[in-house]
Formats: sequence, structure tokens, C-alpha cells
Amino acid sequence: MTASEPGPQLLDVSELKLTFQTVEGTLYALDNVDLHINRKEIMGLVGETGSGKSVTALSILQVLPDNGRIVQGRIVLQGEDLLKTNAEKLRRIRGVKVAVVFQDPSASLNPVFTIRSQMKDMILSHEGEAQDFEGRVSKLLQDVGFPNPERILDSYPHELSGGMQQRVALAMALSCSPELLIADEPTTALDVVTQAQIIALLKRIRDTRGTSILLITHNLGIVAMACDRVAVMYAGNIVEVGSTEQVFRSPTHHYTKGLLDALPKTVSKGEMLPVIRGSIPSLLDPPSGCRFHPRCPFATEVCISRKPKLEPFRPGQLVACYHPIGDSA
Amino acid sequence: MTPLLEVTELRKHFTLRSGLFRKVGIVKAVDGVSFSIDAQQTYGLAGETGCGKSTVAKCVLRIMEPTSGEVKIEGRNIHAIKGNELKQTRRNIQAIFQNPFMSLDPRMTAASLIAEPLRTHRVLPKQKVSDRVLELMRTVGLDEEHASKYPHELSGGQNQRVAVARALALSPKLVVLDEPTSSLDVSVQAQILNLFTEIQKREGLSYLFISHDLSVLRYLTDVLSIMYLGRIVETGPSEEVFKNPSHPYTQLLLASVPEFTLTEAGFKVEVPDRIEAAGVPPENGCKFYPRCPYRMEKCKTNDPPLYKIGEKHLAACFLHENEPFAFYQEANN
Amino acid sequence: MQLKAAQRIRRRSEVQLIGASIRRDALTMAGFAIILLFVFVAIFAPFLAPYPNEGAGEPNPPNKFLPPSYAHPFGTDYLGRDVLSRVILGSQVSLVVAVVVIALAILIGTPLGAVAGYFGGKVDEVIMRVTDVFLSFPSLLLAIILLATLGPGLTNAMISLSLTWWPWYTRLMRAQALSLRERAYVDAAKVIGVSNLWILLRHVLPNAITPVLVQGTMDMSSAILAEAGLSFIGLGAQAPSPEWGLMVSTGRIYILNFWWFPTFPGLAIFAVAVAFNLLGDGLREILDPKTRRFVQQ
Repeated sequence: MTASEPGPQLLDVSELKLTFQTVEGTLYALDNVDLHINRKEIMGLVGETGSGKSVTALSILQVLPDNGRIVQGRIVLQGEDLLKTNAEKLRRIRGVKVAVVFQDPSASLNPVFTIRSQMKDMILSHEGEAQDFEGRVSKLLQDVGFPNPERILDSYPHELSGGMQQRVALAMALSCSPELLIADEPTTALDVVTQAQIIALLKRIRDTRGTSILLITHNLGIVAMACDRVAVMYAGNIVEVGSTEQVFRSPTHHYTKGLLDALPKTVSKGEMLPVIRGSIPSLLDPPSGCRFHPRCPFATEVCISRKPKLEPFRPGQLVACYHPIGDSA
Repeated sequence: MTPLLEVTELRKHFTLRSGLFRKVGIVKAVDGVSFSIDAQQTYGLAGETGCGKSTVAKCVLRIMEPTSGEVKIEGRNIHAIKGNELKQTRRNIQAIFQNPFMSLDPRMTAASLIAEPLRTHRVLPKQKVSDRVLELMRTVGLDEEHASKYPHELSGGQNQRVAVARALALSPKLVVLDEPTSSLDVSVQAQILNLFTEIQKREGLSYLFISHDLSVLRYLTDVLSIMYLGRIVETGPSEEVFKNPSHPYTQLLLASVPEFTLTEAGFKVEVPDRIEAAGVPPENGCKFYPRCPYRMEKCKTNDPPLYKIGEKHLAACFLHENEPFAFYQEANN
Repeated sequence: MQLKAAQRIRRRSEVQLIGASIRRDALTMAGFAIILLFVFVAIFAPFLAPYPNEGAGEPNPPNKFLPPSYAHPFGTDYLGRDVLSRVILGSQVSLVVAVVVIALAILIGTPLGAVAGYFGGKVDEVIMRVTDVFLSFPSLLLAIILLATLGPGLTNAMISLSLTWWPWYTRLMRAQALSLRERAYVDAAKVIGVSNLWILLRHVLPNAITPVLVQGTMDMSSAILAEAGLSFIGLGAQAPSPEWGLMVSTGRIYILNFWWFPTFPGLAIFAVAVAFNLLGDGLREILDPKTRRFVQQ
């Protein structure tokens, strides 16, 4: 699998399979996930409920709950397979090479400490000592858009708005200059205007620091605004990968097309929205072959019996489908 | 013709108290909102968190008492009536809320939830109730097997359908929809939006559609009002508001909404990525003053009224001062 | 971190899940087992006791103070009655006490708390002040005062204990009602036109009842202990009732020479009290969504 851009590869996830043991049986959460992220790019990971996008991020960080098991796969970051790394090394990678920002900034911010003490803790825990702490932290806060870092450093999290908290969370995530920043629904809890500001900020982070960002979201509009490339996930599989423009203007997988068609802006008032029939399958007993086949109007015998692999279709676009859109066969 | 719903100068102020008695401040959640909805019309109320749109909904539904102002349904002031008369009036105006997992009692089955309005108002004899419940379920696209399921056994989309069936049970004339699809997946949202359109045609309903999602509002609404900090800052036929946004806040909103940057030529408003000085809105001036790229001196000390941009299109901004001055009431004739 | 995928798993009925969780925790299971045994013994007491008449109180003087033996595993008491039979029949008394006291306290306290929490305002103020008055007395002292007015006896003891216990349930229910009245489904019910009474009965109470039930389970052991205490000082059950506390009381002067006589009833009190505590504790952990965990295999 080659990436679309000539940029060197940063993260290479191959054949990742993940299950959860639950009261009701085994949940097949991820099924042969292949994902590649290049340097200095914002990669979107988009999907609906149950697609497995958040769980993919947790797998990269190796912070799965007790009942999750990675059955097979490789997660290679700069030549090192994270799944084969020992706990101590992983701890040094988390926060330093790979950092995370979540949907709810209060998950990262402790309400009883000032921002200053939290950022200090963050840097100390990763580097052992805080050289030129004040200068570094002020610059970080300025980088994320605060014209007056002093005021923020002295504040407690509850004194800041949601957008500001998320910016602080971003500053903390960036404090050790990670190579990869994972942002899991970073703007879902924020207002539209603040959301646009955070997206612009993420782009600036990519440009000025060269950090790659894995942006996980269910919002196609955010992907359109923010991402260089995008991977579409459905029921634990990646079904399509490509540059954002390619995927949005000419989607090759029927699920991607269905999603794009279902957006209200595609249809005029009074007309019915095109709808993907059926519903998201249960991951306890997923459909055989291509997991989308029960809902796909173009499914054939082979779709039911064999799972399609993610393969190049056009330059720079990969799709997992036996009858991709635009295929004359 | 009497409009179906008429809201006049609605105000809801919350008093902040420290301790039990000391008054510390007032939050003006809704500060002078007026609008009306006609029969079979879809009226949209847009804005971000804190603009007051949900508070307006609660006052219209009478689950909150306004500080001042009037809400009239078919000409009757709903805050002036009580008891049985109020109960009867409630049949005309129902609601669907944002998160069906929270707006449906987790301990009731779909069937009992849908039957509840029928039983409360005793519209049908006992034997006929379950038939009507099944009929309603079919209308919203649910199967008979869903009747005995609890909310946690159904998906978000299915639960929202239960909520719709429940709202339709009393054959209301107006349905208030408070962010009804915000918690749903894109593909499910499409199904539910189609359901809303279908039902509106079939039952001849009016909708008060409250949302922060501008693309949904553009698709569904006839008339759209934009709210900011408790006031309506722009209102008009939705196509006009989208084609010609006349209030700086509306322009900022449209520029920020991801959907629009994909296909539209784009508005010129730059969304800054630095945080603007937060700024407290001036006491007597325009509430948008601290964030407005076009602000003038007079905006600090005077509160702009709604000026007429088009036949029914109004915006509260001094930029449009030279257009014919119009108070809201006048524009609505 | 909650995972959406795992969250969407259909849940088996709550009871089944709780049952599975109970089985998984050894301590809770032990508590549950002891309680089952207790209830079983209490129900079938007259058939299980080897000497049911003596158990009920009929004296048998020639058998005074016999040490534990094959014929009398727990020995006999100062009136020659078989202690094992007395303990078995005493379980009936304890079970009735536990159930009646707590049931009454819940019946009185819960509606008051629901009304106070849901309506707020003056109603809330009045009910809370009354509750505070009751709570400001040390509970056993209050029970004693009430018993002094009503006169000693098992029934009066149960009534007095209920009257000291209800305020806790009022407080508990009020806190629940306060948070539940803000729920969206309460708003939704109001929009439909449902009356406040109906909302309280149908929407608030069923959703608030779980903490009350957990607390009730834990309190049962306290009720048994409290009644045993009252009987110990002579205000509760009266002779010849086989009530455990009473047996400990009358037997304590014989502890050195004829130890079996107060010891076995004491052990019974201990076992049942601990069992209820274990079960209640376990239930609380199981039902609290924060400490709930997905079952591992």
C-alpha cells in the first residue's frame, strides 16, 4: 500500500484486528484495518457509530480497556512496532511522540489545579526537568492563539470557555513536540464559530511545527475544511482512502457516496433526502464478506462470500470494493 | 388571519443569587423576542449555545414561565390559562427533543410511551388505544415488534421515531423540534428528516425547528431567525437569509459552517484563529459589538432595531440604517 | 472510557445482569447465600426446630443448663428449653422485624421525599424542617422515648424504629427527585399535559427507587441490631419470645458458666447482620454505573 503523497511515512497500521469480550459475546470491533499517515499532513478518519474510529486511536496509543484484545496486526511508528514494544518504552512514546486531544477538554484538565501547574506537571513527567519553563509554556500558549498567556496560566479550567479549554488541551498535547497528534472529535462539543477557529489552529500546527494530525470525526464538513487526506470507516473496516478532494468529488465506495448524498445540502427543499437503506450491523455478528453488502444496491455473490481488500483504484485513491464507482467492469 | 403561534416581546431573565437572598446579577437568556408562525409553516430558530433558543422553546411549550411577554396559540395567551383549559391547549402544541435517550423514560416501553398522551387526555376508549398506537408506529416506520422494547434496546433513530409517534398522538397543529437530529448519525439523520417532511405534508403541521446546524435549517425551513445573546438579530425567508446575510453575526456563522465552504463561492468574512479579546457586551449598545468587524462608535451606545432589508427580511444592524426603518410589527403585515 | 461499539450491545434484563454480577463476587454471594438460608429457616421454622414447643417458650425444667450435645446441639437454657429451637424460631421474629421496620420507613419517607424534591419551594422547606427535627435526635434515644410513651413490646418497638428511620429515606428520595425533575423526559411529560401526580408516580419514583432499595437492604441489618438492642434493655420483645436480643440479654449473666446460652443467639445476630451488609455493599457496587465493569471472561 503506498501513500498518495510523496511525503515520508510516519505511521503505518497494517492488518489490525481488534476484539472485545463482553457479556453478550465477542465484539469484532476492528477487522483488518490498514492506515498510513504521512508526515506533515492532517489525516481524517471519518465514520458513524460503531465504525471503530475511536478504537483505532486507542489501539495506536495502546490504552484499550481490559476486555479488548488485539488479535493481529502491526502499528509501526518510525520503524518501531508499537504492539511489540515494552510498557516502559510505550510510556515514553505516549505524550512525547504521540499525543492525544479528546472531545471533552475536561478529560485532560484537572479542575483543582491552575493551568500553570498542570503544564508544568506535563513537561516534568516527560522530561524530568523543566528548562526555561515559563518561556516555553508562554510560547506554546501563544502558538495556540492566546495573546495573553499570563492570564491563562494563572486560571483554573472552569474559568475558561470550552474553546479556550480545548486550546489549552492542545497546548499541553504539543508541549513535548509530538510527531503525531491524535484529535478525537476535538470540536464536537464546541460552537460552530469556535470550531472553525480550532480547525484553523490545527492547520497552523501542521504548517509551522510539521506535526501530523489524525483527526477523528463523524462530521464530513470538518473533514472537508481540515483534512488533506481522509479514510472512511464502516463497521470496523476502512472502505476508502484518498485525498479529501478526490473522495468528496468522486467517491468510489458506495457507502461514502451514500453518506455524502445524505447531507441536507445536496437536495433542494421539499425533496426527500437519499437514504442508505438498512442500518449499521451488530459487531457481535457482523455480515460475512463485505460488511456493507446487506445495504449495498450493487452487492453480488462475491461481496457476500469474500471480504474485499483495500486496494489502489485510481492514483492516490484506495478502495475496498469489488464494484467501485467509476469502474467500467 | 390569526397566526398559529404568536410570540411578543418574550423575555426570560434569571437572577443569580449568592446564598439564599443576595442578588448578584441577572442573566438575560431571552431579551425581547417576537415572531409568529402560520399554519403549515416551518419556522427555524438558529444560534449557538447560550443564544436563548432553547429557552424560547421552553417558554412556548410552557414548561418555563417567562419574565414578561406573551405567547399566544391560536389567539389565546397560554400563560394566562391553567388547569383543564391549559391541558386542552397542550394538545395543539407538542415537542420532540434532542436526545431521545434522555427524553424518553428509560423504564417505559415504546408502546406505553406512545400511549401516554392518549391515556392522559382520554381521547379514546381503552380498547381502541392499542390500535391507535400501532397505527402511529406504522406512520413513523416502526414495526410491531418494537412496541415492547425499552429505549436502551432501540437505536437512536428508532427512539427518535418513538418520540415522533408520541408527539403525533394528539394530532397537534404545531410541533416544536429542539435539535432533533443533533445526536444522530448522518445516515440516520437523513431518514428522520425525511420522516419530518413526510409527516408535515400528511398532517398539515407547523414546525418550530430549533438547531445550530445551518444546512439542515436551509433544507427544511421557510422562515429563519438567527439569535444571538437572547435577541433575534436577523430574520426572513430562509433562502434570502442564506443568499444575502445582512447581519455580521450571520455572516460569521455562515463562514464558519463547514458545509458551506465546500460548495459555495464563500463569504469574505475571515474566521480568525486568534482569540479576540473576549469583551463584555456593552450595557446599552449592540450585543455583537465586541466581535463585530464593522463596528462603529454608535454601536457601543445604541442598540440597533430591526431594519428592513427586503419585503420580510430584517436585520438588527446600523449598517442598514439607511434602508426604510421598520419595527418588527410593521414588517409582518 | 466508554466505547460506542460496546455500549450498543443489547442488555439482558437488568435482573439477569445483576444476578450474574452477584455470582461473580464471592463476598456478595456469601452474603446472599446466608440471607437465603435465613429466610428459608424463618419460613419453615416450626418444621425445622427439633423442639418447636420449647422454641416457642414452653419450659422444660429438668433439662436446665444442658451443655451442647447431640440431642441439643446448642444446649439448653435456664428454663431447660432447647436453644437451637429457640434460635430457629427467633429467626422468624428477626425477619419480620427487618421487613416491617424498613418497609414502613420506606412507605412513610419516600413519598415525602419525592414531593419535597419535585415541588421544591415552601413544601420542600416544611418537609425538610420536620425531617431535620427527627434527625437531630440520636435515633436509639428517640426510639426509647417513643417506646416509653407507647409501652414496651415487639410491635411498639417496630413502630418506634420505623418512626426514627423514615427521615433517611426522605432525604435520599429528595436528592433523587431533585435531579430527576430536570430530566428531559419529565419536560416531555409536561408537554403532553401529564399531571404532576402522574409524573411523580410514573416517571420520578420508578427511576429513583434503586438507591432506596439498596439502602433498605443495608438497613435491614441495622434494624435487626437495633431491635435486638431494644430487647436487650427490655423495651422490645418480651419473654417468652424467642427473640435473639432478648436471649442474649437474659443469658448474659450466665456467660461464664453456661456460655452456650447467650452465645448462639449472639452469633445468629452477627451472621445475619454481616450478611445483609455484604449483600447491600455488593449491590451498591454493582448498581453504581461508575464502578460497574464489563464482565470479563
